[in-house]
Amino acid sequence: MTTSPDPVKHASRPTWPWLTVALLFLGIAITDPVLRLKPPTFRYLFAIDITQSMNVSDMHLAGIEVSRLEYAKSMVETATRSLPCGSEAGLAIFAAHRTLVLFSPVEVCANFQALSEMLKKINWRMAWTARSEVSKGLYSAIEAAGQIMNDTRLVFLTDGHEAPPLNRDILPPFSTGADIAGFIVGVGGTTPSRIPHLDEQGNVVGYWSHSEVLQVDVHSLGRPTSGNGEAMVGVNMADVARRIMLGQEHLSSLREPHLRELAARTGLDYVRLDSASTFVEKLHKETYARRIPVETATGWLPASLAFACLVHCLIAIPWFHRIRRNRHSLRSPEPI
Amino acid sequence: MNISVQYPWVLLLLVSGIVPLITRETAPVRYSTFTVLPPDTISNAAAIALRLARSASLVLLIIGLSGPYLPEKEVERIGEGAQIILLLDRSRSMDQPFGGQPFKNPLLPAGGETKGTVSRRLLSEFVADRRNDKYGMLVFSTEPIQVLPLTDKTEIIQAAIEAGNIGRGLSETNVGPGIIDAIRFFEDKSYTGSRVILLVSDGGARLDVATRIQIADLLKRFRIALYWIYIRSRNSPGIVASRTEEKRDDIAPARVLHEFFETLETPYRAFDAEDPSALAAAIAEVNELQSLPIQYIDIIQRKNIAIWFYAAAMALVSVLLIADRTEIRRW
Repeated sequence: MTTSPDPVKHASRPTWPWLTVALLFLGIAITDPVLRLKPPTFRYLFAIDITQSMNVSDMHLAGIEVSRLEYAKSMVETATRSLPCGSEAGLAIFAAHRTLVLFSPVEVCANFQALSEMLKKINWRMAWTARSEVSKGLYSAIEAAGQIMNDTRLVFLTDGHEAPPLNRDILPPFSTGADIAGFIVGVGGTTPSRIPHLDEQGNVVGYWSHSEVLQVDVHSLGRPTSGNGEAMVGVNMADVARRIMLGQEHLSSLREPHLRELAARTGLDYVRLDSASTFVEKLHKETYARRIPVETATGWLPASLAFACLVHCLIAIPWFHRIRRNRHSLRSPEPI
Repeated sequence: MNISVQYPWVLLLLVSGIVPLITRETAPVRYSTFTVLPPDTISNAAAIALRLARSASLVLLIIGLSGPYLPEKEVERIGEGAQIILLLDRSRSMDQPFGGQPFKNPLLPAGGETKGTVSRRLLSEFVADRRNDKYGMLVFSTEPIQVLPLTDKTEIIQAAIEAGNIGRGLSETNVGPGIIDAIRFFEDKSYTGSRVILLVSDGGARLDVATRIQIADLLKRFRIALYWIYIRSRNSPGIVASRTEEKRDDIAPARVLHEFFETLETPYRAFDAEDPSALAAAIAEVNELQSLPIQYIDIIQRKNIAIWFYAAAMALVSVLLIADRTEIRRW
């Protein structure tokens, strides 16, 4: 038979070159190629306030009332889960006047189970002294973050409730040389609530009363070693009795202005913890990221090129053929 | 076998796998009439097979792209390894210098390491040497503070030990509650292997009778061995008494603690950190404990299996390629 000019000539659209290329790409893909990329990863030290004001139940998780501490812990867990592999997270607790690092940052994906288990174990009873000097705690957290590893960012979760209260004129000095980035996270409701007394099982057995807590700062109470009423130099004691009477320190709410002030003084950012998404978003901020090489599997790249080739020769070519053939058969119907 | 995928949305592309099954064959062959041709069952079968191969190659490749993996799996195994609770002293006294100079001139300095640094170095070496064990960790001062749950991830254990170097000690040395809390790690857990509490402390503490009885009882009930790596303070007399009259606990509280531990019915060993072979001895001792087989849960890491699918797709594409080159297009 002699060849006649054929409008749907098969050879015009051969599939074999595409198949060959697809085969080559697949050949690369099965070697499981790995590239050392530098995606953004993070190294966070989460310091959680475990003082008693954190036991106030004025937060809500899935519609259920939970304590500030439980809320903060759950947010840290969600946040840790959201960090890309290769990121690191460490845990610390704050009580009394300092931050105690439980463990320095470890890779989040490999150690997630231990991390979340430990997070669940954190509770107010770990506090070694029943005081809550937030400013000093924050400063020591900054110091700790500076001692750990490079690029450690601090996330300090607290309600900002200072107990005993601060004297506005005699603030704890911030003298840390460490230049640490990170942010303070404000946890707690805005309405002052009673701080519960808890028993060993965590049941509420009462509330801190007006007379059980220091209503004014220690300096205003005068020299501790002298008889009552001897004022310290430079401290105004004139209206102490009135201030004590009007004191609201047994009630606790999120002290946002105080935390903002602390953030400004220490060069940290401030964010209020009201939903997991805002927290996660803040944690993923580019400014906190660090770029270190991470081995990244890149087999998907040649594999998708191979897929494109296959789509072209197994779907696109037959498809175009059909259209052309249809057009052709409209113009000149095939001979019977 | 349980396969999960990382990017399920990619599986939407699976629709494209249908296309080769429903489109007509690509290459029409022009010929005056086919009726004279005998039916060719082999070719018909081959045509169907090729359609299936085209579809399958697309499907396999899409599944490969969706990131399939075998999820992490827990397997129960019998093997070696103990459950060790590290109980580390974080009291203020641990910030003071370590060892040396019994009854010599106390004003002469000898080495600058603090007791805390020494104990963390020892712990770190211990953990590095025995990486098949499961570890939990507590630090204690006035109150015990749990630092790690029972875990076998070496990285996090070392991170917890390292964290002890940050900041100063907390407050008093209160060994009693520390040991009791360490024992409670094993509460409600079935006995699946040797249990050890590794106490690292300078031991400047007194235990009252109630605490002593409680500790002795609990250790026995949960079958736990107690090892004490004793970190000697500078110029302190040490725990092993050579002269019996020096028993007064205001002179050597650590010695009194040591003597109490020796009355325990459960295994107890003390190692002096000053002795360079002490660590090796402690490790050897734990090794010996493990002549008993223990049961543990091994976690099989998640495994990416995309390349299996790529390989299968590759085989099919090769078949397609061979078929394409051997196909008779005109005659």
